[in-house]
Amino acid sequence: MSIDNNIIAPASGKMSLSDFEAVFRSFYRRLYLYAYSFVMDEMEAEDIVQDAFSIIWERRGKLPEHLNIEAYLFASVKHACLKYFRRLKIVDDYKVKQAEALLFSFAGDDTVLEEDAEIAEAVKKAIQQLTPQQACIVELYVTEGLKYSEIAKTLDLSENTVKTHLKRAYKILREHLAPTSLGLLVFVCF
Amino acid sequence: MINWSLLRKKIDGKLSDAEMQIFKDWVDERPERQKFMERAEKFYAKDEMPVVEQQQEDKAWMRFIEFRKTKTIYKQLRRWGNIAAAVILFAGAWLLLRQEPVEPVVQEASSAFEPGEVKAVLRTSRGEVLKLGKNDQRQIRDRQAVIKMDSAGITYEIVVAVEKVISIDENLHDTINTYHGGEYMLRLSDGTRVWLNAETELIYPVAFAGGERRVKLSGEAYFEVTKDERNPFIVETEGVDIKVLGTSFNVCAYDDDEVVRTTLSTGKVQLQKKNKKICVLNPDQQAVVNKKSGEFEVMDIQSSFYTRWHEGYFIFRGNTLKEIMKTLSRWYEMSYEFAAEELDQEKFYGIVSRYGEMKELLRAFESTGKVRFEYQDNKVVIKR
Repeated sequence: MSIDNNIIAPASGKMSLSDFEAVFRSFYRRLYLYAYSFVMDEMEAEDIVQDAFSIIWERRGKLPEHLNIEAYLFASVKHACLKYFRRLKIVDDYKVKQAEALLFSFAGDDTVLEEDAEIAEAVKKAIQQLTPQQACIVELYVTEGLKYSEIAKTLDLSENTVKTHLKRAYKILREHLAPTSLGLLVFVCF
Repeated sequence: MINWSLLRKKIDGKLSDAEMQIFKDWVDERPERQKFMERAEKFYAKDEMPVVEQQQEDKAWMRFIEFRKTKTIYKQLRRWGNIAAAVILFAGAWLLLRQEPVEPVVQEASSAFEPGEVKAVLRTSRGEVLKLGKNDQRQIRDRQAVIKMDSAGITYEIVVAVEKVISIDENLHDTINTYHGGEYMLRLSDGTRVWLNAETELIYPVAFAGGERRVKLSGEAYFEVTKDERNPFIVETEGVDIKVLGTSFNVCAYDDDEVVRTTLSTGKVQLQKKNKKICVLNPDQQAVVNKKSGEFEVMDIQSSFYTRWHEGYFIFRGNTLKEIMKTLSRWYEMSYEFAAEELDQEKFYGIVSRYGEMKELLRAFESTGKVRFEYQDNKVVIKR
């Protein structure tokens, strides 16, 4: 089964467990990072992601034919995170936490729900603050899960350089999503 | 309800007095809010990005499989908390597998416990004997085929002229053997790919003539058969024949096992004995056939657990230590002995690379606290 344009063609009952493994492995990392950045608890994040996959697995066969599985998974993870916040009596009125989670999961354009278009814009702006090299390193580190040494080898840099780049990138991203810079921006849209 | 932005300001230490009061009212009300704030503060104190390593993904997938099976129980257990659920469901012991040893590995002087490698012996139809290794780079011309050897294994290509002019003699067979600690890959003249695991023998025609494509296997191999509906591909083993049209599957038929295990990844295969149909397998099904009695059982399984050895992994999911040690002893240079009763029935879960050092691998088992290994020369003694 191919996963092209992030749309899994037959989300039908015929999907075998091996097919589903491909789906699981394509999205697990980013979903986990999303949930973890949101709820900031490893066990809770893992449970939320496992639940999202279980839901889709159990409903295979009943899902619309050309479902965008990626968006579906992200939406269910997002709602579970919001639910967790509600349980703690926290509201994310300005979608600051959401934006942060979106940023650290490196969600693509296909992932973002229409209702979140504004925060996606803010996230994009934050990422644009990085130099191309920083962006590349961050992507290898976060979305591919490569180690410092592996990134260093791939890009022909020293491990220390990679480390420094990552720290600097992280700082830049955080600052650009701080409530003060983001809050205003998003507030306008509400 | 409290706003996240206010909590974030608290973490940054930027709350006004009025805001501080709102925060305190919220946080003091419930202990879990206090805990949440502690975690949040830790999260923002880090100056590194969160990251997911490969092993976490592997473990998550295994968890998904396990929890899917035991979902109803799990849903109930969840209410008691995740830890309880994890402990009960993984009572068999979950291996915490490390990709990199934390401590430096001490180099062993002897070659004992070395993992297997890409190596095999080829006996051609003309009686030549060739040793095959990882870095071969040669080519031999048989009467009917060109046999190429390189890092991708061995490839048979039918000589075009021969195919047209002379009829192919299917009785010319080559034999390939991987002995202890060896694995090898080959591509037959019809394009079918075969991965041979350790201690395996495959006998096959140098060139397929049309009609049934028959090969003979003892040991374990993973097949990706080239589709050709008019000429079915048949794997003969002691005990059962597997008939396929075009598909990928794993056959485990070692001489010292009582059963032949056939696991289907894609397509469809039919198991038969003396041309009599036994059963048909669908993807993610496994047939276990007793060689002597012919009794069989078909189970729903996840095929990748049985086929990923050909991608370089050992996958154990609730296998007994007895089965695990047998598998390891075919791959690593070693013998073993159980020094405690019933220890061989202990079950384990985990995924590990086939190319790591054996002691490192066994250390992962030890980390579960269920088992200990002692090393004597070439022998591993298994204790409680």
